[in-house]
Amino acid sequence: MRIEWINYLFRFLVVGALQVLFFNHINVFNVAIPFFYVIFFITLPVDVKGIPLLLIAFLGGLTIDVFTNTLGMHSTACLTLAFARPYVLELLSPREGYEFNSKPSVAEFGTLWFIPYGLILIVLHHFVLFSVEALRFAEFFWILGKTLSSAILSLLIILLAQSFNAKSTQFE
Amino acid sequence: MRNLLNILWKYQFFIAFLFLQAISLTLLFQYNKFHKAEVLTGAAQISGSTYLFVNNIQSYLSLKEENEKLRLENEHLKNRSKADAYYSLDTSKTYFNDSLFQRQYKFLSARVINSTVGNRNNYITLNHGEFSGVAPEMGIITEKGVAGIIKDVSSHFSVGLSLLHSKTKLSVRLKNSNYFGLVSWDGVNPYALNLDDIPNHVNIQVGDTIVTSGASSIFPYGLLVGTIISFEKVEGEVFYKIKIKPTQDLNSTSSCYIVMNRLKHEQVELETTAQADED
Repeated sequence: MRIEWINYLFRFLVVGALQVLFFNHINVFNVAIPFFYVIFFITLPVDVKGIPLLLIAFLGGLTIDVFTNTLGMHSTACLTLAFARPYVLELLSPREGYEFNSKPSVAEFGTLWFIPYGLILIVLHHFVLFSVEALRFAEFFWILGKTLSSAILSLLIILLAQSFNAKSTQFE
Repeated sequence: MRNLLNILWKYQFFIAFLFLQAISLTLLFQYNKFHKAEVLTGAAQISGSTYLFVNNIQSYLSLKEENEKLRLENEHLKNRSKADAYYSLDTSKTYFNDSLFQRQYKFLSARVINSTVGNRNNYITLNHGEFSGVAPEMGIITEKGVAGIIKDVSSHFSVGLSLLHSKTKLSVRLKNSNYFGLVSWDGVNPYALNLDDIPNHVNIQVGDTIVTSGASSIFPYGLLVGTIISFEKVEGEVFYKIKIKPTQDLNSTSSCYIVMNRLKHEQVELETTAQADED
């Protein structure tokens, strides 16, 4: 169990570094920015729920915030994602329920299951993030456009990253 | 009591969510108030060192362009330098009072180790901090124009508000007619800033140059800021709606200068005394 936690910590460091050093500088048509790091919260095992999940999301978001000078912005968005995750999982649960220790990922549930699951959580996260950043409801449609375009970009990158991951698990 | 505890236990997930959300929203809205806290300075030091490490590797990729830029700037400076470009006066026969030319601004060369343009509020991280004499409210310029204003400093790093930040307000003037205006950014297009407070009757044209006004004690007078790309007269308004394009492409700033105003203290002190006398 302890080794698993260290494994996850390491995974967060890699994902966070990729986000802060690389994906934050991508800005497609001045509209879409990919927030790749949400892959970490989305693919945590189904059994991670309740208050530990919220704490992980809060601390993870805060870490990203420190690197982008936006204290409280990413943590708010990640908390919302973590809060919604159990309900989305329940909504999309397979008929016989989730197996012990299963991960909501492409490798275990297939792309067709993952796309709606990922998209709901990513859109929610991005919408909260961009709203909190702008703090003006007059710009609702601008925020919405930015949310949708960024969400699609994030989802594509996350799917791509998982296709690498799926191959590596086959070798194990 | 037992029931209450039961309810709390039942809704612990929701209550914990509200509690943590309250903390992060407090952080969000109070950020400016406690930005000097020890914890945050430590965090800035960590993020600064990380960015510096990566930038040390990245900077090799743009060495050629950097060299080209430096050569152009050297050429420009050589043309202005007293020793190289000017006829030297025979000082045994003439005398001029050198104190007239007392130096007001000092420029410190710095490297941009991290910057963004995609967010609503963008920041520039530089590799000089308190130990190099950098303090908040100093200007950040490049050889092409204004880039931002320093906000926070730690011992080795400083973070500045980019021109692309909702709180950056820059006092400027039209180069050819000397009318004052205020430059700000609405968060949409990083290649179009807003210029306000230019009255309707002024004659302006697309392509007109905008320079710093020198009114703020942060930037000297006459530094390039941008050029007008579009303007319109709004019915019933006294001022134009003007969009300008920043001369420094904020997407590709890699080196810059920090502007230190040596007489700033004197100016600010005088201004506050003058204001205090009036009250």
